[in-house]
Amino acid sequence: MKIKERQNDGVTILEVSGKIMGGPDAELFNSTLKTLVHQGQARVVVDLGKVTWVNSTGLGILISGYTTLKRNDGEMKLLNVSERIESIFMVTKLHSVFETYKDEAEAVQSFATD
Amino acid sequence: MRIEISFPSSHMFLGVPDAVIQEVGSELPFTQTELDELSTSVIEACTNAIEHGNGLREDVLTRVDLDFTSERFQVTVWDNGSGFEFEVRDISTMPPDLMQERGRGLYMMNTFCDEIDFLRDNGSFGVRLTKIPKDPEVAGDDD
Repeated sequence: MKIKERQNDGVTILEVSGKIMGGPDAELFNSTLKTLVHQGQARVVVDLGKVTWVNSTGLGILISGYTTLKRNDGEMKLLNVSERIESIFMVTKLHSVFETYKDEAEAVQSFATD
Repeated sequence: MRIEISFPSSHMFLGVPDAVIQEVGSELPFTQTELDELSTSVIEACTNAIEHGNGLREDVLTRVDLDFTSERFQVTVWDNGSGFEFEVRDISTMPPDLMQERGRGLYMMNTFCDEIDFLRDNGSFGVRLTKIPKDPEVAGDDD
């Protein structure tokens, strides 16, 4: 897993590529979020457009990130979720937890209306 | 027909069985969704194998046997562990806590596959996942 970070109108966009599957991925994702929280940047959009697949451990990583940001008065939303990952969210009922978007501007704007 | 692959028990190689399934499956009458569901399930089984069965030891190989025809795609993942008490474990229902970080893998396998079997053979533990195409007359992408 690789992560590229950038800002869009006060929201951090994390562009994730590769697979989200546990092992070193957990440390990388968690440390990235902890740094953002420490910097006071707890509004995060995770772009999964370049993620090929996620396993159940990867779901745990996303849940952990979501929980971390919530605890720090922030939020994590998802962008460009593939059909393959969306079906996993449906089966595990996590589609009721994660807000997902197909458009970055809309995802960013959603923080303003929260 | 059968393909057998073995790879070191590391997260690094979890994409290998996925790539093989996608490649082989593209020649069989499965929709992309069906292939993805099988692949996702096999990745779960391989994750359990490398983590629990083979202790993330790169010197220990995880074996994956792929048996396929136009009527079914069956994948068996083998590890050197003792397995678990599948006879008493309920894998048909979601874990009670939606926000728990682990514990969904078996449920995902059971939901995405048409059949799931647990095997013990000569000190190895195996998970056999079977996918049957809904419309064997059709090949290729969804819709």
